[in-house]
Amino acid sequence: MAERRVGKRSRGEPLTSDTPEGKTVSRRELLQFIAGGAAALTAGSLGLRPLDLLVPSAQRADISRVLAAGAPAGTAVLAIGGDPTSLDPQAVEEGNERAVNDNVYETLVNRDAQERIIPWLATSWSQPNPTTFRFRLHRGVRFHNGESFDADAAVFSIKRIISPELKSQFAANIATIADARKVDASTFDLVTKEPDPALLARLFSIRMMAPNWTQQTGNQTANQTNGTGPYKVTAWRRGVAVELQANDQYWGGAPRVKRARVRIIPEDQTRLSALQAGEVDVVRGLLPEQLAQAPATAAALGPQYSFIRLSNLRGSPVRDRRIRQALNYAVDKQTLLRQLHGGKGRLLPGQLSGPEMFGFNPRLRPYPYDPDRARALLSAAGARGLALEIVGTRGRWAADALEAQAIGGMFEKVGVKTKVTLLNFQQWLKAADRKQTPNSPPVLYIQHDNTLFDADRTVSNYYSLTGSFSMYGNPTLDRLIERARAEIDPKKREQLYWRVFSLGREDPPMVFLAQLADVWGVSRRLRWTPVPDGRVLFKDMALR
Amino acid sequence: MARLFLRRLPDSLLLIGGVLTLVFLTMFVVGDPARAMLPPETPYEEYLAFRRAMGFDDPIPVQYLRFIGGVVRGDFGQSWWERTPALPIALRPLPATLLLAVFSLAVAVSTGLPLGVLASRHPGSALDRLAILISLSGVTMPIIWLGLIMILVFAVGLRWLPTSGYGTWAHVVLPGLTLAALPMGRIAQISRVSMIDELAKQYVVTATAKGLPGRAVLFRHALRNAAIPILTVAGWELVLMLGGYTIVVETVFGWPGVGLQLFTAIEHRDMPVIAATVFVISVVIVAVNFLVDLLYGAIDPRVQYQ
Repeated sequence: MAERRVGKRSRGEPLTSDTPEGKTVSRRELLQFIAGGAAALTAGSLGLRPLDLLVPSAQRADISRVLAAGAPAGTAVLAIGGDPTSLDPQAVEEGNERAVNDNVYETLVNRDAQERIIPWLATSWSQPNPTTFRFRLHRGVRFHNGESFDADAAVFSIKRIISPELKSQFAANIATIADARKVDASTFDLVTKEPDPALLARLFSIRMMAPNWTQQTGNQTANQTNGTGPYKVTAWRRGVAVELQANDQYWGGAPRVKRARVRIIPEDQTRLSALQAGEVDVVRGLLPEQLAQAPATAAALGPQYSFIRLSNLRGSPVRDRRIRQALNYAVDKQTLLRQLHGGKGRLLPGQLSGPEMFGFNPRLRPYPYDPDRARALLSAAGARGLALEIVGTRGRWAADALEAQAIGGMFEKVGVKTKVTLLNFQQWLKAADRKQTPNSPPVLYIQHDNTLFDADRTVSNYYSLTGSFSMYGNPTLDRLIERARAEIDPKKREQLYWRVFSLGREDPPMVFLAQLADVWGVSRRLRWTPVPDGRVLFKDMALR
Repeated sequence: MARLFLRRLPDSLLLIGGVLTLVFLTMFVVGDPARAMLPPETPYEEYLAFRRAMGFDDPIPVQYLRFIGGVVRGDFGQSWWERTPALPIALRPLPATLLLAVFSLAVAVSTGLPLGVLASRHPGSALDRLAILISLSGVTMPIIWLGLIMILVFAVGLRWLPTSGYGTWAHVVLPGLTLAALPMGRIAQISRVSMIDELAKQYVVTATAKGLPGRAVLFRHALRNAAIPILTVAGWELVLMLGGYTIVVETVFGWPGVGLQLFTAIEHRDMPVIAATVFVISVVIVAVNFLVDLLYGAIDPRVQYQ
C-alpha cells in the first residue's frame, strides 16, 4: 500500500508551498497528464466518433426531424423491451429477435388471420408415405443478397437447424424431423422419425436461409441478415434500434410502408411516454392502467392460456376428481378477467384451448361460477377441512401474483384453507418440472403459450404425463393422444382431440381460467390489425 | 507516476480476480442458465442434452479452471446467447456509459461545488438554507422516479427533448441530468461542510487581516485545502455511478450502456457476458481510483507516495 508522509507545517506559514522536495508527482506534471488525457479522450471520441459509429450522418438528420415532429413520416416504429440477443433466425428463440426477423425471414408455410396454415414459400405438399412430406416450392424467389431460394436452400436450412452443432433453442419444437432431401430444383422431401401430423405447424419455426451466404458469414449471422422477406435490415444500433427498409423486389409485392424501425425501450413507462410523444407507432407489454393513457389500442386474442395445474397422482390432496371439479366451480373467472386483465380475453371453455388452435372443441362450455356446487362437491368427496398451497410466480406474467392470491381467496370462501406462495420465475421453473422436483406442487399457477396452434403440444404437456410439467396421468386420454399423434387424416385427428378435451373437462387436470388477449398501444396514424400469433408485420401496416 | 501504477498493479489484479471469482460462484447459486435459455416446457431429456452440449454438467472446479484459464488469456468465452466472443460484447456499450457518467459528473460538480461554496460563506443565511434544501432533494429523490418525471415533463409534455434513446446531444440531456441529481446533492453538501470547516481556521483570519480580497482567500486558499474531501466524494460518486446508478438510468432512458447490458445478461444468465462486463467495470473503477489518488498528490503538496 502506498504510504503518505505528511510534511511538517508550522503555524503561521502560508499553506501554498512550491517546494517540490519528496514529491513523486509534481502538480505541473499531473496537470499536463490530465490535459493530455482529456485532449486524447476528446480527440479520440471525435475521431472514434462513437455517435457517428452508431448513427450514420444521414440518420442523424432523420433524428433531428424526429425531435422536431414525432416519428418520421413514412417510417413505422415498433417499440420493444429489449435488444435482440442475436439476429440468427435459427439459433435463439426470443421475442425481441422475432420482432425484427418476422419481417426479414420467411418460412415454408404461413398462417392467415384465423391461424390456419396456408402455402407460402412452399406452394403445395403431399405425403408419399407416413413419414415423408414432399414440398413444391415457389419459383423466382430470391434472398436479399440475390441468391436464389430453391430446394437446395430449403434442404440446407432444415439440415442446419436440426444439426446438434447449432444447439438451436428450437430443437424441442422440431425434434421429430430426421432429414431433408432434394428431389429437383424446386421440390424436396422432408423425412420425420415417425408419423407427425403436426409437422406443418412445426415448419413455422424453421426460417429459410441462403446456403452460400450463411456458410460465408459464419458466426456473424448473429449480426447480419439475409432473408426472403418484405424487409431488409439496414442498420442495427445496439441497444437503440434496428432499422429496416422495404424490399422492393419482394416476391409478394413491394410493401406499402417503405421504412420501419424496431426501437428498444426497456422501461414500460418510458415506452408509453414515447407513444404519447408520438415517437413510436406500436407498443407491446403495457399494463391495463397504462393502456388507458395510450392514444389508441388494438387487441387480439393470443394463444396464452392461464390455469391452475392440479395433480391427480398418488399423494395429491386433490386426487379425487370431485375436488378438482369443485375448485373449478369455486373460481369467479369473469371477475378475475375483468379486474385483472381489463376484460381483455375470454374464459376457457373447460379446455386448455381456443378457436385458433387445431383440435379446439367448439361444443364445450366454461365451468360456471357456483360456490354452492363447489361446497357440495367438496363434502361429497369428504374434503371438509382441506388445506392447499397455491404456488405461483411474481412478475413473470401479467397480474400473476394478484391472480394467484385472488384465487386463494376464492378457495377459502368455499372452505378450503389456502396458502399462496409466490416464487421468482427461475425457482418456479425448477419446482414446476416434475422430473427435476419429484414432489412438484400439486396446485400450481401457470400461463401457457402454444404458438404451434396445434393441440398436440398442449395435451402432451398438460393432459398427460409425457410432459415433464404435468402432474396428471390418465390412461384413457393417453391412448387418445397417441392415436391422434399418429393419425394422418385431419378430420379424424380433430375428433380425437375433441374427445380428449371433452373427457378432460369432466376429469380436469386443472382449474381452467382464461385465454388472454394481446393488447397493443398504437398511435393514431397507424392502421393495423393484430393477429393471434402476436407477430408484428410491417407489411400489414399503413400510416395515415 | 509509473512507479505508483506498478505498485498498485498486484493489488488491483487480486481485486479484479476476486470479483470475477465471486461472479462465477454466484452464477451457480442464483439460477440455472440452461433453464433460462430454453422455452419453459422443453422436455427434460432435451434440457439435459442442452446442458451437456454447453458444458454445464462438468464439475464446478473444472468449469472454474476453464473460466480462469480463459480470462488470463483475455478470452471470456462466447456469449451463450449471441454465440460471439463475450469481451467485445462487454466493451461495446462502454463509450455510451462513459459519456453519460462524465457528463453527469461534470454537471454535478459544476452545480454542486459552487452551490456548496456560496452557501458556506454565510452559514445559516437564507441562501444557505436554500442550498441545503436543494442538495437534500438531490440526495433523497429516487432516481427512477426522477427519470420518469423528467420524461413526462420535458419529453411528453413540453416536447423539448426525446423520451429516450441515443444518437444526438439532445438524447444525453435528460439521462445526464437525472443521473447528476444525487452526486450534485452530495458534492454540494461536502463542499459546504468542508469550506465551513476551512473558513473557520486561523489562517483565514490571518489572510483577511493581511488584506487579501475575499475572493482570493476563498479560492486560492480555503478551497484548495477543502478540495481533498470534495475530490474524494466526487471520485466516489463516479465509482457509484459506474457500478450501480447507471443501470437504473440506462433502463429508464433506453441508454445503451454497460449497466443495461449487464442487466440483460443477468436476466439471460449469460455467464461469459456477465463476467466480461463485471471485468470491464472493475477495470474502469480501478482506473478512476488511481486517477483520484494522483489528483490528491497534485492538490495537496503534503500528500506524498513512496
